[in-house]
Amino acid sequence: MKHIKLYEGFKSDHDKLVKTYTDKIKDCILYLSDNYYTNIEFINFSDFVITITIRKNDDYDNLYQCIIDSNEKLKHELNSEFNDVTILSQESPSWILSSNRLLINQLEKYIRTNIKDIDDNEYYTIKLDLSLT
Amino acid sequence: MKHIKLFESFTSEYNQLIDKYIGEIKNSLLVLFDDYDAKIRHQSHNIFIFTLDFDINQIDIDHFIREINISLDKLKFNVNGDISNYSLYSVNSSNIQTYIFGTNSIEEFDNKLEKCTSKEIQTLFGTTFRLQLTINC
Repeated sequence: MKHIKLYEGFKSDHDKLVKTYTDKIKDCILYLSDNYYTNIEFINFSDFVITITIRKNDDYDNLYQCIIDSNEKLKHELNSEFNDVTILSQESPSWILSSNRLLINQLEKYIRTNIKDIDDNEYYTIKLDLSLT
Repeated sequence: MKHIKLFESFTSEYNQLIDKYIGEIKNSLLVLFDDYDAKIRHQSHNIFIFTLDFDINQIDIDHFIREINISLDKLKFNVNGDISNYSLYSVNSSNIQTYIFGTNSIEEFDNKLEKCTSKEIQTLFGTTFRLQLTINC
């Protein structure tokens, strides 16, 4: 009699679960990924990081709104929201602005005043931390 | 129109997955759970920790090793799992454990466990031991 293998292995099943939710996050942040280079990375347990790379010719005016819209969609679809925002510059390896969700409006001010001044080859990285419920 | 929520929640599904694998690991190690005071818990990523308390003077070491080997075969078949570490601790009456040795090979574990039947080791560590298996699956 042949045995049917019911379990592929925890790692394999876990990777599938992470992929399902990564795809769902992808759907929720379409506002961002349509306009900017974005990447979603699973960190640990239920923690994900969404990285946005901002270059000189990107449309900065929409960036803040795209983040807010993505956050709203995440709240609605996955009952989760960004819990930390970090901006890193290409030149400085350490963060230059970090705020929790209560201070997320600081991000708008920062984007409007600072990021526009970057050179052609320069870029900024915005990291959005997301812990799924 | 009512929306149907397709996604339960990541943590809920993650916990269900852990419970499912803990159940299946338990099935694979059933001979050990039946015969000894054994426990299993999820540590992190794909690592599960199995512990089993026993009195060295009350077990047949050859039989014990055979049971571990049977469990290992079942683990491999049922959950694509493997034991990456066999560690032995002594346990006192307050449940405080002291590390004695660790190895990644069942043969080496067998050899070293045999030595724990000596009077010298038992004077030092007592007779109650805890086997800790690190299971990757």
